[in-house]
Amino acid sequence: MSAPYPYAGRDLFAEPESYVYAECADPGFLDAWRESREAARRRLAGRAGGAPPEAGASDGGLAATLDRCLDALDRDPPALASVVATLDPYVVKFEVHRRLFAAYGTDGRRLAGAPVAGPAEYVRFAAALAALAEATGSLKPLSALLKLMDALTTWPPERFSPGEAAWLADAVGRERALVAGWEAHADDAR
Amino acid sequence: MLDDLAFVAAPTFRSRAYAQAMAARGLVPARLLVLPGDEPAWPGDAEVVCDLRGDGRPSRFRPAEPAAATLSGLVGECVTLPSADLDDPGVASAIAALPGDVVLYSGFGGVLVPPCLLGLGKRFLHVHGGLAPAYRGSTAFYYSLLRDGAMGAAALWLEAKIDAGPIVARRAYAPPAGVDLDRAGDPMVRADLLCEVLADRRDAGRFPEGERMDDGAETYHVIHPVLKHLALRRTAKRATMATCAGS
Repeated sequence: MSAPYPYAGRDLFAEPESYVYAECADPGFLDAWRESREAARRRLAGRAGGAPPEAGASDGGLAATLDRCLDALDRDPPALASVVATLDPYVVKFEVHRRLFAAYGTDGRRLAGAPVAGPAEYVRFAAALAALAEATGSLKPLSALLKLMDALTTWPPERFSPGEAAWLADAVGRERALVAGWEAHADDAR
Repeated sequence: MLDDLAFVAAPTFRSRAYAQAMAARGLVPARLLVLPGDEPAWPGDAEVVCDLRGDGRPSRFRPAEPAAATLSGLVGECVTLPSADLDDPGVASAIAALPGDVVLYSGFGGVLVPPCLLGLGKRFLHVHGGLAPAYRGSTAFYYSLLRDGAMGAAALWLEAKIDAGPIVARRAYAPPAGVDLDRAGDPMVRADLLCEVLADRRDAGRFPEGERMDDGAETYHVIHPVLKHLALRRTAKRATMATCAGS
């Protein structure tokens, strides 16, 4: 029996994981990840329902910024360049600090008094990273998405509103599809 | 001996690979400055052997051998720096006092050379483990392994922006099969390119200025283990296919 997925046992926002020199060559590692995510999806599905999460209230709010990114990605054709330019600083912040804040100024710094980001911001960030990875085929947002989802799925479902839980459960499915695409690419090693 | 070159080495597998490759090819720096710290343990085979360039000439690496042990007796001077903290004034003093103008830098992973050292008037030569500019940042070679099936290295002059300085040389490599890529494969690849650069320096009498390359630049962060797993899987699959093709 393969070892369980090693990043599922603790709150990864409270105790961030560096992922440096990660041991992941075991053939059962990917299945362990899938099992962990499926268990999280089932937990979230039990909580999910209701209307989608409401947009952020203030113009300076990260949630509102991410909603605008999601709208831009939903256009035909998607406004990829502007979304990448908007999202990349948040990807860097999350990769370096493993957390975001709920509001930033035009200089990219946290607004004074802004609290640490919560479910409203993070589920939107996950949706935006998934959409960007789908649209561009880039591994950079996918790697960030995987780390964000590692952290979000360590939170109990009760931390999310029913709408947020639904968004997060959807993100689990999109993440799984993205990884499956790269798995097929890895196995087609010509 | 390369008189204008000093080697600043943290206790890492990369420093060990650099030291051994330079010693094996007679491309030894004039001075070795060791950053203090614990030497990492190596649990694997005493020697790792790879044909990095596919030319039938093996590269050899003894991952357990510290850089200072390799270069002791070969370099003109070997000192231990007063601190592992690159912001320490004693480190800056020691580097500023170097007679040569080029410093080969092999520091602790994830630690950038601070402005107080970059501003000393020396050129810092760094070999990045990825085919810059498309693959800058951390664990970049895993991203190229997954996407393209190849590793890479880029020798460049350090500037404040990560892996964005002028590129002196760069090369793609087929991943060595059956090798710990983090602790042996990537260090060996970087050491191989380093020796190419140093050999050119020996033959030309000077280091080149390098070329700025920013088109298609992307800076990556530590790869998530799921993607690293797939990169390793792709590498193993290609190695298996190559073996079958050759049998």
